[in-house]
Amino acid sequence: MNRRVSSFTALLFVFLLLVSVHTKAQIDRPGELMNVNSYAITNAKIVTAAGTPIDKGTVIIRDGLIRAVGTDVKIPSDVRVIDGAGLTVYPGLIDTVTNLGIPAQQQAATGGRPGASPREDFQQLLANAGQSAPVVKAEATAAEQIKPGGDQVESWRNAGFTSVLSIPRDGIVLGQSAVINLAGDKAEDLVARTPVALHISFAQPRFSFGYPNSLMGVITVIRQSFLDAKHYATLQEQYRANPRGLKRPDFDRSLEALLPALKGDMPVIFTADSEREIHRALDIAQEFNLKAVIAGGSESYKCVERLQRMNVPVLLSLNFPKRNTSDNPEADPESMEVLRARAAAPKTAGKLAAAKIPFAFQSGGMTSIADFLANVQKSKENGLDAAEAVQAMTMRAAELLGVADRLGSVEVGKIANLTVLRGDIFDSKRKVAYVFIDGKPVNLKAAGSTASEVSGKWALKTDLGEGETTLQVNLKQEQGALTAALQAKGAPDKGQPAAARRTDDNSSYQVLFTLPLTVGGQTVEGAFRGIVVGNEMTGTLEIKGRAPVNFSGKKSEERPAPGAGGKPDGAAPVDVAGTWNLTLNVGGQTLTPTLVLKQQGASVTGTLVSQFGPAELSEGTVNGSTLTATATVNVGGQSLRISINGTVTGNQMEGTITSPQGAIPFTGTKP
Amino acid sequence: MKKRLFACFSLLLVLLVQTPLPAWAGSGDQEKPTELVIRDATVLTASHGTLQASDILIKNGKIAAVGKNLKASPNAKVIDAKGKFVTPGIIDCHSHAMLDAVNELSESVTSMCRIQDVLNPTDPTIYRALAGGVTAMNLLHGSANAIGGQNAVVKNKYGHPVTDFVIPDAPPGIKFALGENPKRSNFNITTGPRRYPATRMGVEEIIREAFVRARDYKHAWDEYRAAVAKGDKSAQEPRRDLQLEPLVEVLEGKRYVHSHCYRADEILMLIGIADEFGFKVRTFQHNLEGYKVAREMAKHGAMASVFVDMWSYKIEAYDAIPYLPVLLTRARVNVSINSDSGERIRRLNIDAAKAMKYGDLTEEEALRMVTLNPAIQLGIDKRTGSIDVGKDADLAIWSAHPFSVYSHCETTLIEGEIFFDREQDQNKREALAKERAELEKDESNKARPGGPPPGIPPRRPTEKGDNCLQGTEEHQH
Repeated sequence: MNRRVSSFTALLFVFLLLVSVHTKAQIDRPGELMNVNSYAITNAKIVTAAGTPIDKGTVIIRDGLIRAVGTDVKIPSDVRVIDGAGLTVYPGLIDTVTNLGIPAQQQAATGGRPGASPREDFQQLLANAGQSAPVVKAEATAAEQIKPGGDQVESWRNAGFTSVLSIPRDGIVLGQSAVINLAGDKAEDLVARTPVALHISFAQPRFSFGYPNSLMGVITVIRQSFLDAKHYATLQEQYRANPRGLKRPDFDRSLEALLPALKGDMPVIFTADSEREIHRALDIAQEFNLKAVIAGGSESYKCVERLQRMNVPVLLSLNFPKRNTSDNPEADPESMEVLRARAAAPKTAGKLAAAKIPFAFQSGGMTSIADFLANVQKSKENGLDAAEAVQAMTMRAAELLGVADRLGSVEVGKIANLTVLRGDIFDSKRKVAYVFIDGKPVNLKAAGSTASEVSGKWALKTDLGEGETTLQVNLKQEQGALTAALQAKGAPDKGQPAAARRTDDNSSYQVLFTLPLTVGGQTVEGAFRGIVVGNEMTGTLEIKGRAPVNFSGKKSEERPAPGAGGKPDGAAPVDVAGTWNLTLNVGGQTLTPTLVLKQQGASVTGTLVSQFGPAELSEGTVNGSTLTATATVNVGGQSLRISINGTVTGNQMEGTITSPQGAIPFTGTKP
Repeated sequence: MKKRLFACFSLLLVLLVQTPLPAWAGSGDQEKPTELVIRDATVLTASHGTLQASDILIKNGKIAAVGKNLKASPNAKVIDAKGKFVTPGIIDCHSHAMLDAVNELSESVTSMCRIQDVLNPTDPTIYRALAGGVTAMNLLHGSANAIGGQNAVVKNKYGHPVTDFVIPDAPPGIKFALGENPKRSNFNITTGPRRYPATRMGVEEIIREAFVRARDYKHAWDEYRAAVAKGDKSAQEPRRDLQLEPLVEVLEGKRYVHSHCYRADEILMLIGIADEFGFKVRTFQHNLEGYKVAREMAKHGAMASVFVDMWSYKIEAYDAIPYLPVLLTRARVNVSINSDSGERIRRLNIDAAKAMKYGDLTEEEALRMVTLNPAIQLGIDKRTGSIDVGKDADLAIWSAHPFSVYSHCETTLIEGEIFFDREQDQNKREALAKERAELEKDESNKARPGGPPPGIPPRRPTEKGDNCLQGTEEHQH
């Protein structure tokens, strides 16, 4: 009896604890803290990146700055306290090479309309060839081009980044970069330092018909630019000293902008990956006595001696080369160069560290920012010291970008850019709990939020000349793309491709989709152009041969299950254990394999039983309601690696099975 | 048909001579011996006849002695070449190997572009060339422009850093091009307005115009320097112009002109411009109709770098004959035979043999066309091109007489260092196969699911006629 009571008490205790944690989490949701200026993160591990980590300490943030850090910190009464138990506070992560916040060139300059065929694209480029942008634009500054907001900035923040170096796009001499913080309503709020460096790329302008259109020409353009700048400086100097009797030299803002680099006051960051590119960059740096930095640097480990001798740091790209699909069996074997490059990539950081070459990490144009920390992890497994790895995303990055006085570490007086993780940064199960930028917590949203904000079941009212009707439209994410489908009898279930885009001011979303509509007994295609604000959509509906009509409507409260990626702090995994009967259609044939799943928390094991025999599942996980797993199926003596991706609703599941041959949708039920 | 068979044969050769890439450039895998002796070979000196059963002594990369029963120190590395033939390393006076860019296609005058900026020391063509006994190359800009870019003269030190390749004392040169390529008869880069020039008249005009500008530029600098020398403080420094600087060097006789050409009239045209501005054309490249104007070329002092039996791949290449090398030689024009191809570069010895077949060239005259003569044309004959005491030990050792189709190159040395050896090549293949197996096991090289289904594999590149018109990879002459 006594025993029973005590276990009951224990249960009660656990329950109460759960409730309290739950309510606390509710209060501490960053979104509800927006108007507060002061925070204390207590009981957290603090990796300061300046000295030894603090196992259990407090960080006080006030008015955008870090005011106190340590174990013995008095918490003022007016601060919002965040219990950091189980959390680790890192300096805000810095990505040292990006185009974040820099709008892409006008479409005319880079290509035709979206979705245009390559030929159309090419014709468009030809038409615009005469007006192509100048290739040397040293005077361009990122700070003047920055626009706040955007999906990309959001996904970087969600991954824990608080600052990036942002570089103007396109050209050979690209212009001057700025360090920006990834939050703020106005462009001016974002800039943490400008100008940071002059940027030079060897990339040939795409489809350039004018000079230069070869690597030789590109290098010559760079050399001639610096020679011209030197000449400009000489003439200006001579004129300043004694203008009498001298022809006044013309003012040239582009050449003027090269002078700080020539004087060694501004570093010159060369985009260079291969050994040859790096040597070419260093040759130019040597010729003009520039303070060079290498960005990219995938083969920098081959140039260690010269980098050391010339004292050149590296902004190392983590966009490792990777092999995506299995090759056609008839293809030539991959070259040794390609194989070596893939194997070498994770070892580069360790080699640079061993050679004492200062380096910091950058995303290198990776498509998914999630690869960043994954590849830091790989670098750590391949010889990079953990503390060095953290430095390369924080303090060393700040040093190389000239912002070590304000960013890069958790120290008193610095800008309060903090990345707070649940779990260690090198733990693959880590979650981003909070991101503070300029002392304010950032509202963390799931990646790809644009699609999730607009997806759902919409009831849209319109009048097609037959009286007002309500169309039930289902916008949802299928296989990573947004689709639209009409929910009506006889309507196809398969959605049609749709597109959604966040508007520049961040306040709404533009949605485009087409649906087959029955008007006057005929099926016609209706093109919807809508604006979504919150749960409301308004727009115009166009049917060929008719005047456009307006439509408007609301989204029902029911939200679709979140897709892969989930919420940053992890959604509780649903129960998937049991036997699932799957149905899928391959080449006109219906297959009914069985999926037997065992579950432990988020981890899933089990077997896939098909006509090809049983196959063990690996890498099985449940994230929210999303199940992912892989299996190797033996088909006619050939091993096929497949991946299963399903969304579970109760005892229903739908998703795709992806093999090297493509993706096949499936549905499943659990009796 | 014959040509196709030959193409098949050469493809087979390409497949046989696979190319072990260096672990990374910069690590030569050979210890360079300070003393080396090649024993008992038939030595084709290219300068003073053929020596039977002779030795070549190499000290510190230079040829120290050539003769019978040479004394070498006990530490010297010995290569037994009994029954084998040694020639000077072959020199290709026209190649686009190891270039990351060949043509700056935009402008008609691109003298500002430098081949030395775009060298790729890991290009497998270098190794294939070594396997054909080639030790040095004249790397030229393509022929898309009337005045192309600056050349680079290199030794094929495969595995060394790129800085080791460039021959430091080779006189600088520049590529010119006449006829169909610069006037763009056979292709068009853009669908927009055609680039000037579109005729041979225009090619002549644009070269003359460039030299007029170069002359004015030189004048401006001369005046400025004179003013500074006089202490004139108000003299304003002229702008350095990378396009005109090399042309001033041509005017001053400091830079060689290597001009791509086909027709007799355009050869005379360029000699005319050169005489007008007081410079010399160093070599006419291809020069298919050169036999028609051999005396005029000789009078000007121009040399010729030609194909033996390649023609008819375009209109201006129709009036060619295989007797071109002998006719030019008899007119006292220095002749070299070049490859202009990553494929023919491996068997220039056979091209030299063909020159012997057509006409009455002697064996040594024919051999010189791929050794000493190109060295003279490139101004590097003081250090290479023949087997003479004091020259760099750039040598090729052949299994049989190099003019036999049954012969193959066994060892290639540059400055006494072995850069190709057929036996070592076999060993390297094993090591490479092992490395490949290990790399393929690496997690990063495993195929992962997802992504688009595998596409149709790319076809192996096929050999085309003319190599000068390529941008980066595609070749044409």
